[in-house]
Amino acid sequence: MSKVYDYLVIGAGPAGMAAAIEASNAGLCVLVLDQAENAGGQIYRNLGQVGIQQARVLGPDYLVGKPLLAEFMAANCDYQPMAQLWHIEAHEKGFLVVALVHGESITYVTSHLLLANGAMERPMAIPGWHKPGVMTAGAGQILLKTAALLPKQVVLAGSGPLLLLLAQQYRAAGVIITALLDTTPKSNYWYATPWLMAGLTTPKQLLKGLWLTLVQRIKTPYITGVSGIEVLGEECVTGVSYTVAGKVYDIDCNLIMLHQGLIPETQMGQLLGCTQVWSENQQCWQARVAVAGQTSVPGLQIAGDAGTIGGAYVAQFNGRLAGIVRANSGVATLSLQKRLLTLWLCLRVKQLHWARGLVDRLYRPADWLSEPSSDTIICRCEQVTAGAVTAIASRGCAGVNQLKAYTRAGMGACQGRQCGLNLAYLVAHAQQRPVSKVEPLTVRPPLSPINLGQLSRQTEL
Amino acid sequence: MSPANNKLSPYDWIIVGGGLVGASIAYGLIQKQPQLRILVLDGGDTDHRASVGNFGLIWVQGKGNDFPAYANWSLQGADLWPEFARQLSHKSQIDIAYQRQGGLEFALSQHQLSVLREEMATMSRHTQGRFQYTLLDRNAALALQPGLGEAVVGAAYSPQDGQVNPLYLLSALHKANRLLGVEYQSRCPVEHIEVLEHGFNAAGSLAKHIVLCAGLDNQRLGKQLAMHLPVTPVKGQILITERAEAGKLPYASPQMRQTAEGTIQIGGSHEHKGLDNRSSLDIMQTIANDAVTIMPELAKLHLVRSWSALRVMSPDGAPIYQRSTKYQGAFGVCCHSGVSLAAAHAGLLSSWLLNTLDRDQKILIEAMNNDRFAV
Amino acid sequence: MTDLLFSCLLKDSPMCPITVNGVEHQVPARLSVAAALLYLGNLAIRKHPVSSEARAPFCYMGVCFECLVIIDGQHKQRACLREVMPHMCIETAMVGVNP
Ligand SMILES: Cc1cc2nc3c(=O)[nH]c(=O)nc-3n(C[C@H](O)[C@H](O)[C@H](O)COP(=O)(O)OP(=O)(O)OC[C@H]3O[C@@H](n4cnc5c(N)ncnc54)[C@H](O)[C@@H]3O)c2cc1C
Ligand SMILES: Cc1cc2nc3c(=O)[nH]c(=O)nc-3n(C[C@H](O)[C@H](O)[C@H](O)COP(=O)(O)OP(=O)(O)OC[C@H]3O[C@@H](n4cnc5c(N)ncnc54)[C@H](O)[C@@H]3O)c2cc1C
Ligand code: FES
Repeated sequence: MSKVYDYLVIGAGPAGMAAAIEASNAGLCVLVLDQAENAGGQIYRNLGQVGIQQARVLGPDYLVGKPLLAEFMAANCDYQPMAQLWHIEAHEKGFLVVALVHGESITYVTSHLLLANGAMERPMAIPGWHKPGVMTAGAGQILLKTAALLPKQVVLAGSGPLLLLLAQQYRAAGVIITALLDTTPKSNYWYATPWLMAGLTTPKQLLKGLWLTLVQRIKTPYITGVSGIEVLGEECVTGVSYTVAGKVYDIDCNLIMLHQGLIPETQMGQLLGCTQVWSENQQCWQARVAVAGQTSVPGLQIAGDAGTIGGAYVAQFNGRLAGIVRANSGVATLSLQKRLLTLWLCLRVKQLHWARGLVDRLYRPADWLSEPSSDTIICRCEQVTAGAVTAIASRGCAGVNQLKAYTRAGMGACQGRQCGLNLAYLVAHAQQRPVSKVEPLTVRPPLSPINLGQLSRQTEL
Repeated sequence: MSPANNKLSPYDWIIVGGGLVGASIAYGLIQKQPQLRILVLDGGDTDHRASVGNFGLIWVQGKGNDFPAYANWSLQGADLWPEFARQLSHKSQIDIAYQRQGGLEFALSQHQLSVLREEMATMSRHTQGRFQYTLLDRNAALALQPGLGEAVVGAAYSPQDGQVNPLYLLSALHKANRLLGVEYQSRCPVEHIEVLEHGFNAAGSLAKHIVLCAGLDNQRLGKQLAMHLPVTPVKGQILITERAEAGKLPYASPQMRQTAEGTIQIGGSHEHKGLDNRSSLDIMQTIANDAVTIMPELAKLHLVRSWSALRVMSPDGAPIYQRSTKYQGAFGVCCHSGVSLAAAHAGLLSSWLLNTLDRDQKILIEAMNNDRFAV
Repeated sequence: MTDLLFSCLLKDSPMCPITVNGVEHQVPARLSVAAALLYLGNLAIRKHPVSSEARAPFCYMGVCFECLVIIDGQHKQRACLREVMPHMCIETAMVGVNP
């Protein structure tokens, strides 16, 4: 029989690292799996390795993760990098977690599971977004963090803090930003005002955000109220066209980076049958999670951006809380100190999530993005267009899952990560019902590639 | 016009369930009598749907070994397929990737081979020799399918087997139905069927006739119309690989088949797990193992998807075609091989429902009613 | 390969020899394979299996599956999740599509 862990954590970002530290300090037998080569997650990616010049460009919010990373590396827990998780299922002892490690499929058994696998960028489906020369702003940042690769010249398009941060980092490094096309609808500023109160509870972040926005507006060719963005070019990107106040403009460029905020990576929780709810604020499906990460599935917790988008600080608090709660599950009476710490962490997480409401409302995606023109590719893997999807949806199909059967949209290698949300919007529009009532795509293994040979030879740990 | 507006003017037929069975029957009815007003009421997006989780075979081998009527019906159904496919593709403008290239069932032991020999002979007897087959030894099997693993000792071959893309089949049926004037309402689960003086009320719509094609829900709905429709879920898991070069698998097989897109579909388990249709590692591993045993070179192909679906299974695996004796105008149709029998359902079963079938055919279909389960 | 879209800040980092489609190159150590391919000037690295169009890595974080390459004989590797190793052998369906 294989070894049974007390706590298996998926993801070595701030949430996963913090949870693993707490749980292993409390004496649990902990394993952390991550598909990346280094710990740190999206925000502190490559933090252990960056050079001075990169660090200068990336800014202080990045370097702040160093103590956490060091604490994690010193913690008494097993850590397996380069482990690509491809399946999880319920098991008599808790959960069976299956990952491909160095070409071998390995099965781990754990009594409790924490998903801290983070977020992905909201897919911004515009005409031509599949062409070479288009990538996400997150990709731009990752290239900077992990490879110190900088474009000579770039167009940034979309909305959200990460886009502004990237603009800032690029400018600091001397990249020419041909244009920053801001798609934030002007009405969002109005709708976001009631959330100012929430934002004011984190004054430092609010000020930083304001400063970041102001600086970009002054120092980059910043164009607001943009809609109708289209990527131009046959084989590769040669330009981009967009609309402002009813007028269409074209610019020449070879590289365009898109961003439209973050959404949680929910597939693992879905695979385990974790209840999903539509978040009106963050415009995406999320697992239903309590403050310490508890879900509808006993023994399963979700923390950090994999649950609700909150950013690095809250991910770390959330992870700590999840780890402490896991370590003390079954303990009848907690010490006063533990109780106070738990209480404080709970309040911090709740407050930060509330404060996040301002960012969520301010950068809510513009409506035009959820109604792409009919020739826009929605499913990149199977090349299915918005037109094909709408045609089937308006005939009255039941939802995205039936649509998948009819059009192949969502059947490709990415398992619907890049199209699922946009398919739901299209169905909602075609059938004139709220997107919250459209059920998400069903998730099936494998979550990442595995071949039949590897599958047929399973190794138990 | 939405069905809600039609409360007062009844439909001729309500079909409960828009899976392959319901959609094929609606397609048959409207083609035979285009003036009919037909409404298909279908369930929600995440309902159990064998129709979108099946293997896509139009399979004759071994069907109805213990049940001559079913053996003849399967063969007839397969023979109706070429014309059915041609017409449906034409009407819907959807290529459903139908092929009748023949099928192979591989044997991994001499025992399995002798079981196959027995089954084929029985089937041939049941059909007065109309079922054609050849039993192949290892070398003969290799001649048809190169690359077989050491463990394969032989195979059964029938030229009458074939395959289709079942998803496009369902999509094409729905599209053709719409073009022919069938009304379709999805996300409209029928909870209760009310029996009226001259018809039925399902989810607020009225009709003179009603056909239950609700898959696993037929058992529950059948009771409301005094029909015993004993069906249970049998789970099947299937794996599908990335696209391989065309012609890798020239013949269809219940163990593996190559789709028109080039992907290779591998299957399938038979599990009694109630309504649980989650994927599980042990079964996926077994399926992969079996596939690699039959064709070692598949080992390098990547898995792109797995899925699992619930078969709508009667106690003997054969279809149930039931007329309610208590309520005139009510019918129930339950069937495991809804792909193989789609042409028969559209062609002959719809005529049976309309009561326009000749006597012999009628006897054949009625041999598959639920009397056979009476104790 | 024409004008490079990206340039690298790392000026004096140790280099790592890799082979791309049979040709040997030197790239800064610790780069992901996807980043290394970009460093060498390859934007598109894949032919789309359905449309046969040129495609390039999109997310660089493992979610889009647009960066699949063969690494040391292993197919379907996400190039953005693997770091280069000395003498790593990378095969891509295409190289060098660049504006
Ligand atoms: C591209 C991108 C850039 C970002 N940049 C910033 C920034 O500059 N500043 C900022 O404040 N916030 C940034 N964020 C937001 C970021 O999500 C949070 O700040 C923070 O990293 C969340 O922490 P986490 O622990 O919840 O998840 P993450 O930090 O995302 O960690 C998740 C970990 O899970 C691993 N993982 C995911 N899937 C699997 C799998 N299938 N198998 C194994 N391991 C897996 C990942 O490799 C990753 O290490 C960024 C997000 C993204 C997506
Ligand atoms: C793994 C597997 C492999 C298979 N392989 C093959 C094969 O190779 N060849 C073959 O011929 N057959 C095969 N089959 C069998 C075939 O798929 C089924 O016989 C066929 O799909 C049954 O169709 P159906 O319409 O009866 O049921 P379903 O597809 O289950 O459809 C039932 C429909 O009824 C609706 N519904 C349910 N309840 C209600 C309600 N109360 N009100 C309104 N609507 C309702 C549902 O939403 C659904 O749309 C396979 C099945 C499985 C599971
Ligand atoms: S670039 Fe998206 S998965 Fe590698």
